[in-house]
Amino acid sequence: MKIHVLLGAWAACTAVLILTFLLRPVEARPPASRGEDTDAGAAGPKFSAEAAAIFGKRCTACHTYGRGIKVGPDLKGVTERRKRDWLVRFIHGSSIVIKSGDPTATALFAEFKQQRMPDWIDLSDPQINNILDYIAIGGPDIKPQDEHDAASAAPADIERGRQLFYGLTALRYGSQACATCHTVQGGMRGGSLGPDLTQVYFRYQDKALTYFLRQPCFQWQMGESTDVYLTPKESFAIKSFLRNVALQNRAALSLFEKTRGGGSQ
Amino acid sequence: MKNNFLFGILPYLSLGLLAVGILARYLLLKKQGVAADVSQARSVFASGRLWQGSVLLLVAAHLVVVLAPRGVLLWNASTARLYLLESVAFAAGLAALAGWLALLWRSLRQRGGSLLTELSDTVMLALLFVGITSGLLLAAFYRWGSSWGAMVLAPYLASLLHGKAEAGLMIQMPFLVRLHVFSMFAAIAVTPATRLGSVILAALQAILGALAKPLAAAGRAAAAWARKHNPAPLFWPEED
Repeated sequence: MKIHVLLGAWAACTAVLILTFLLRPVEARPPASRGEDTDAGAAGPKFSAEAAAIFGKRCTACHTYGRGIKVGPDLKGVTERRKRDWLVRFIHGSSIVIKSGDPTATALFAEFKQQRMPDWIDLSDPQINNILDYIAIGGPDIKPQDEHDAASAAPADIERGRQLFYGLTALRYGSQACATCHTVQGGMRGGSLGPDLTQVYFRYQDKALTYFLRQPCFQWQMGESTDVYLTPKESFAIKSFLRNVALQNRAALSLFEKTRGGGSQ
Repeated sequence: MKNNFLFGILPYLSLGLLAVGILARYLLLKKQGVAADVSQARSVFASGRLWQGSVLLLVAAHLVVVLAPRGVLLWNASTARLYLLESVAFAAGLAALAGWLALLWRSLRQRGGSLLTELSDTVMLALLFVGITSGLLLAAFYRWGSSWGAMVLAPYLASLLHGKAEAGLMIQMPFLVRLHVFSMFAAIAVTPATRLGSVILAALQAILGALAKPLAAAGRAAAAWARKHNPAPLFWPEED
């Protein structure tokens, strides 16, 4: 009978834990941290990595910035051509604005072969305003910090990259440190679920690695937007650290080869 | 397609089989009771303190990773704590493997049930072996399972509980991880056919019995109160 009581208690505890887990409130990222960006110094006062990411993901398929008409109009200067509140309404729900008989919206609808823009109802007003700010400051023409060549990194950037890689400094958007799944130079400190990243800088080269670092490895938080994974500054720091590791490894290998060659002679 | 079935549909199928199997066992054993089966289950599946302790520790560790992933990741932020957690879990896994071997030895020498029960118990023992060894191997080859488990397994199981299985999270995992998770679902599906089914049934009966006691007491108290404060004499006075 004792085993029944123990198992009963165990099952009850498990059920309570599962219920607690099910009923817990869904945590959201603090909204204040999403609009701003610590990389402001790199690209003007209103540069937002999130806005850049959303612009790249949702706008560039149909719009260009300063390169003429694609499917929709060129967005360069759009914040001067149209009023801000009209743009916010139009981005949120272009179909509603067109249906309301708005003359600008209906004219655009007719001009662009009645191709209607998707209603971005999931974007909040601050997010849309951030995108418009990004367009207003010429964001698409600004080279984000993560696109800078890792060869230009200062020792402080490499050290910051090391700290971010190992999780000694938290990543801004709450993503997990690379060392959760990866390691470098066969070290035991990092995980081994993912590949060893010692040679990744030379394998991918600077540009490809930049784009790779913009994609999250895992969507590990339910219901979270994965538009942004690292800030450009974090991405640059991690890239710099990985380049440094690759260089160190190459130097160690060549030294090893030299020593072995010298020994055999 | 195969993986979508294994990690998108099989979990629900396993839970369904568990529920149906326990119900069927209840209907079959309603008259004769489950005491004999529970006693046999104890000797087959719960013998040895090493086995019991290590399995409880492993189950608790897995539950913590799945239910409190953020806490685990915070704990693992310190390398020393990460090493401590992983080495304790690995030692528990080794102890569970040793306990399982003892269990197998005992089970081979002890026979005396229906063919179906014997077969199911053997399948369950095999699944336990697969679960334990795949867990040990993935701990050795895919380091820091507590960290990536919190990142991948926790949202996967949460997606199952929310009814929207994110099979993609599991599909991208290495074979050993998928095998480990699959063995758990398979074990859940097989459980009702084994002697452990009777243990679950007995535990459910114990819980329901414990819950029924205060309800029955409350019912008796309510009946007594109603008898004491019966308004009937006010409306229908007894005739002399």
